[in-house]
Amino acid sequence: MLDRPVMQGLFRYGFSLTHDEDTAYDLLQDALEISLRKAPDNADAATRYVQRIMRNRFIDQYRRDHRHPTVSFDDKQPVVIDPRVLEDIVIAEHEVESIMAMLEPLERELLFLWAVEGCTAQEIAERTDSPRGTVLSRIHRLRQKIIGQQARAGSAAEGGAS
Amino acid sequence: MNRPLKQAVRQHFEQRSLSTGQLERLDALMAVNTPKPAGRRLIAKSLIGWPAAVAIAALLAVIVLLPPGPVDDVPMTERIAMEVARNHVKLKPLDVETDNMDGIRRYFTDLEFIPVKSQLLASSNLALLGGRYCSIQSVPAAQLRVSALDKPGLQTLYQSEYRKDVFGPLPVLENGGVPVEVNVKGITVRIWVEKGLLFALTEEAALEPIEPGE
Repeated sequence: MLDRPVMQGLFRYGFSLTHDEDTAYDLLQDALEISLRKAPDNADAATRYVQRIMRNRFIDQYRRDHRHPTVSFDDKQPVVIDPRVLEDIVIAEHEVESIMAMLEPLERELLFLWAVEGCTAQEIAERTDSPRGTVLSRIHRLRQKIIGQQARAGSAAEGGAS
Repeated sequence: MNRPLKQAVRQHFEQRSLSTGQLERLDALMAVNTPKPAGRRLIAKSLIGWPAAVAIAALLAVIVLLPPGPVDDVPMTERIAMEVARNHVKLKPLDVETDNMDGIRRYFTDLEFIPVKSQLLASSNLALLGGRYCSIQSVPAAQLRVSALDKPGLQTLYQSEYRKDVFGPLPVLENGGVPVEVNVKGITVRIWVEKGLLFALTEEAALEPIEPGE
């Protein structure tokens, strides 16, 4: 049986995918319903098991809803970069929401695993069944996207001020 | 104020939390369904002693058996109907699309019962569309979607193991029982027990013209 802090963590993980609290709750409830009969006894393993079900269900649903998805779930283009490239980004408090809204589900998931769960690129690769190169590639694109968004927001602010 | 991205992202997610009601529903879902290995219970008893074990068991029973807040006084049939109607309205995507019970049985292998055809619905001209895993009052269930051939709209048919300890007494078809009908959210939910399974079927109220002056 998962305790409440673990369920809060799973809910937040669901939120990273769905970007909607109601949908994140539904996703968690669905995953629990499916997992209860087969979940491992070990609490950590059970948590990972539920998280994996949530991820698979979300991706299945996303694929059904988006006939022409704008995000690739299978990209395999490794880019050799330093996995710490996200560490030096600084953002203003009001930018967080707009950045999250702009990101694709797997980009938010990556941010969640990195920032909240403290995963390394290798751990993210293992948790998401992705090659490490793919994760590094996603980190690279994520950095570019966030910096690009900050630059656009900065330009808009300057334009508005002049 | 500027902050490192990591800190800002962490705070963004930590601001999101399950409500107390949501946590209680998920706790109940796990409490009802989690198997309790005998070995582990014995270890727990030997470690903490009988008085504490009895107290914990009593507390768990209260948590599991007494739903929180204002639903305490709501009859079980209404609670089932509310849950079924709420999920019917959501029309969540189907896990499996199939027009026959064989397809349903092949998909729902993680349930502790086998979905069956209802004799009560044998003459209802219902076409099966598919199903998804779900639960009623935290008991795992198959949520099937059907449509009547002679009426517009979709209907939801729940099947779940009939757990009398959870659902209480309900009309059993084989004993001459007649389905209970509960109207909620503009939906009529019929509830009955058949072949050892709980059935709940929704039917949306017909669109009747409103007379002038009403």
